Amino acid sequence: MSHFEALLLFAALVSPALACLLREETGARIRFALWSFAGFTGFAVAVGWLMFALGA
Amino acid sequence: MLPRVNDPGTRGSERPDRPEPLAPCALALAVPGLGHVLLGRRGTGGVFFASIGLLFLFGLRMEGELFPLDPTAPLTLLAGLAEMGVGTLYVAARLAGWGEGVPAAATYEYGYAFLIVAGLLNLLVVLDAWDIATGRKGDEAAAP
Repeated sequence: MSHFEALLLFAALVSPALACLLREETGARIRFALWSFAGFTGFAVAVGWLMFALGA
Repeated sequence: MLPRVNDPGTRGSERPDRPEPLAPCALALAVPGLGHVLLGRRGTGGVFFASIGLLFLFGLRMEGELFPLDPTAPLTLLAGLAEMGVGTLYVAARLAGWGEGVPAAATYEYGYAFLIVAGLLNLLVVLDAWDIATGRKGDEAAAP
């Protein structure tokens, strides 16, 4: 399993649980889960590129 | 039959059929999501069971370690306590001899991160069950 696959798996499993904890309505939960998933992956990719740039 | 909270002076006791808060918390601690099922939130309980259960299983599959409760190593002790948060899954894994951990494996760090997060997430679920049972959060009849 690659780093990115592990990241996607983690985000996919944690986001729905956080959405159910922090939102009440089904629609709000779905939106929160999608934003959370995007946040996990996007932030990790951004930090990865930042580390690449700083390390170059 | 579960004991009921009927004291009109306590917060969240508007519904006389509300279960005693300790029961759903204990069930949530034993099995992720079961406390929410007891509170009538079957869908939410199912999401918690699937998410936390899969996190834990993938953590084991990725050669993560179930850390010993070693008081001489505070960080290891905290990690072990966090992992215990998944309750029955932790006990079952221990009894089955899983979670020895393979530090040489490429996914070892990911594995124990998954295990720790699964335990901590279930502790949040326990607190959520408490809030619902005491009426501090939502109405269990209205939520999925």
